[in-house]
Amino acid sequence: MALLVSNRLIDESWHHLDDKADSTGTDKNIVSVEQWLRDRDTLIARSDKLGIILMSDQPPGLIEADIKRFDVICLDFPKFTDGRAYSYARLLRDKYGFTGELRAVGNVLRDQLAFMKRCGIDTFEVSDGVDARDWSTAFSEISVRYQEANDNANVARQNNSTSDEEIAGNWSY
Amino acid sequence: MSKKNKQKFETRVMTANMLVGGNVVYLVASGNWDEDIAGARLIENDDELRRLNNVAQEALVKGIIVGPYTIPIAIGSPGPNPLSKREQIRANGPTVPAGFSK
Amino acid sequence: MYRYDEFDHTIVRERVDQFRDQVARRLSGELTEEEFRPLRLMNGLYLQLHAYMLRVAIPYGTLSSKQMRMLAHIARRYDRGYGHFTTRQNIQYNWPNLEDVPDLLADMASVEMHAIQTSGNCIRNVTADPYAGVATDELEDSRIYAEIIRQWSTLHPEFSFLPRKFKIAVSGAPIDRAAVRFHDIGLQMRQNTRGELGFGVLVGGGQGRTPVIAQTIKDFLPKQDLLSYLEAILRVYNMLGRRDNIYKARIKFLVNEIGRDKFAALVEEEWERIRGGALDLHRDEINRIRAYFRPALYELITEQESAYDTARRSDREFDRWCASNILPHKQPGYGIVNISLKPVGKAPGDATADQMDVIAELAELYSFDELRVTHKQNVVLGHVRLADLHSVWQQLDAAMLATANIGLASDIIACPGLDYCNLANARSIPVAQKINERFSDPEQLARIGQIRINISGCINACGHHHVGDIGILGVDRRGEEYYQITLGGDPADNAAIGESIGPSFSYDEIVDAVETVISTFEGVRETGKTFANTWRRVGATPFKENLYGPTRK
Ligand code: SF4
Repeated sequence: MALLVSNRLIDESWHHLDDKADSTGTDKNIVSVEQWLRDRDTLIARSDKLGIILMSDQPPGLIEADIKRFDVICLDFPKFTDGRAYSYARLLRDKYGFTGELRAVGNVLRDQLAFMKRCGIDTFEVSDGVDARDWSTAFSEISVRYQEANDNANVARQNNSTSDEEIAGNWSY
Repeated sequence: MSKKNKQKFETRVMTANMLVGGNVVYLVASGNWDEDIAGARLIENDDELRRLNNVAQEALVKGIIVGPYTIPIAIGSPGPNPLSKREQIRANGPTVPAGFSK
Repeated sequence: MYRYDEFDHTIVRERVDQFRDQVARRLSGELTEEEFRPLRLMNGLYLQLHAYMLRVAIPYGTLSSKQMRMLAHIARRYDRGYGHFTTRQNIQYNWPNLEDVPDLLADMASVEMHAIQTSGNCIRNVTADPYAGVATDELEDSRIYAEIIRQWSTLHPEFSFLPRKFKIAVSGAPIDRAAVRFHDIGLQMRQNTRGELGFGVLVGGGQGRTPVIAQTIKDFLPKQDLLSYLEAILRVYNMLGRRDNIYKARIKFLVNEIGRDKFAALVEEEWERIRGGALDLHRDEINRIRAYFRPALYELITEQESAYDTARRSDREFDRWCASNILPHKQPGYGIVNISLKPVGKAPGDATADQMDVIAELAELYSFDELRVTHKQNVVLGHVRLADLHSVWQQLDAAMLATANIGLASDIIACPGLDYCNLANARSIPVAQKINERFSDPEQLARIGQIRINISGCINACGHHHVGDIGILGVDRRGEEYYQITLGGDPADNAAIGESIGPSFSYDEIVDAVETVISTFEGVRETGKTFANTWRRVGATPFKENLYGPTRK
């Protein structure tokens, strides 16, 4: 599995702990919420670095107390139309102050990358068999934004210096 | 379509919309897609249905058409007549003059 | 009117390029139909019964002449010479070709128009009072806030994949002309005890298969908090709205399931966290947008408009048109002109390219270059001098645009129905036309008075049948077109959902049935009372008896 990080494709270096069979893992483990809630203490003792995956029906409030323990939080996007994780991303950044890696996993689609990034997601999983060579161009297709979110790009009006006179000049009456 | 097998096969034709034009088309005998339902190839048994489904799937994958499906028709003159009002309107266009002007 | 700056131009242009690329990837086979479908829908491109249909946004219904001329150009160049104005203040083209759509959108973009968010599960085109800025009763021009919301909601990264589509309406007047009670969010401007302006916030209204009247979750929201509060509502909805059942995914179901108070509390909690932050609307920003909507430079008219009065006295038809189609303007000596797109024999809301050009020309010459499209599928010239009215009327008449029926029985709202729409059960347009023909006598129309006849071709209710005095809903009975009648709906301050009156009527029976309803109303009404008023007084019984005979209850 590859990852898109800062516009470059790299190989995944984390180990996804399998819920049942795999009890060992490596020193960099990504676990499910269920595993976390069940084996929290063992996992902390055993893993050097920790990650967790939130499925789209698992809001970050479920792990609120532990959020800062994680180096990476994965948000699952099961299908194009399920947009819950966009809100989870924003909550993780704004409400819970998560500063680690926020990763989109699952059915990650090129035409949604820019939205994800704007919500504070910084790495993107590429499903096997998907050609992601042109993915990095998806972020620059729309260069300006109307609203504040979790990127610092070019928000409308912020440094808008249009004076009243200029607007009046524009005005067609 | 959910009718019992015992009932006799309901004659159908295969229809779709063209990918580029969006226009309504029917699968005709030559294997092409044509706007005129009059030449549509009749589907009168399950084998034929399966065969034309495959033809339609192929055209779908090739990006010629979108959304193929079959519709029940009655044989009339000059050709097949769709049974439902919806398909009659699809075959013949809107029933109201559009873009009316003096 | 709002003028796009470089910034807005950039977004619209880049969006066209993005879609051009998506279309190319579809045509080359890189994208399957399944993958492409949501992308084209995000650009307002549907595949309908006969062809693709493109829905173009007209933000809060306001257009310049230049934009209207572009709509005409698009109709000629890429379509079949006409367009259809919808109940959501948009325009739809029924026949574009997929390959041409990027060019079409590029032409649109040259006049700052686009199809962004006219479809899909996102925040749709924000609607407003069609008489904003010119009505005599308003507190403030609602388009200022509709524009602020338009900007905030455009390509919103968090709210582009909601459980379902999301519609917001804004009213700046105490009398509701924006149907705020039938939107996912309705904003009703009001004044608090200190004389400040803000919004009453209603949520969970809507039509469709489960019509619901919105409930108030905040009595008074200060203007500066508008966007943070909207963001809180949308975030709660995005996380908690149902995604397992498309028919239960609108916000009305969430509000209903958890209860209004619980919903309001969740919104309040999130809002408390984010208010006063980046979304705070500073007075400067409101003023900046307000400057675009400042009142026109009206002439000060002191004497009576004698030419206008004389023309009304001497020209019977003109007088009739003035009586039904002109509304009072806040500026003395001016009038609000409603151009009816409902003449006999035409599809409600359709306009030909030539008609669009005529309307654009008139707006330029007589109405400060500005037009509005209404949810009743008509067009408004916002500010015409009374002295110019006779001339305007003559020019409209020459273009078949002077039908004197605004608000009357033949001013019918109708969705495209089975003539165009993929989801339809039955046709709407020919039913509207037949009713229109039946009620084309001006004396009769005047006698019946204000009445809303609304027709939808299926349960999705695009033709607003739930809120018609007389609502007509197309249903399918074994492949045949049938029509259910509902009575007593009201979109405005006395919001009500029409009541189904009994078994449905066939295509051949429906016009007679409507006539029966209207003659029943005329029989039982007290002098001068409206249908709505009469319905509330007498209820369903007399209508049922006349429609189905005395034995049926
Ligand atoms: S109400 Fe139904 S038939 Fe009419 S436009 Fe909407 S979806 Fe189509």
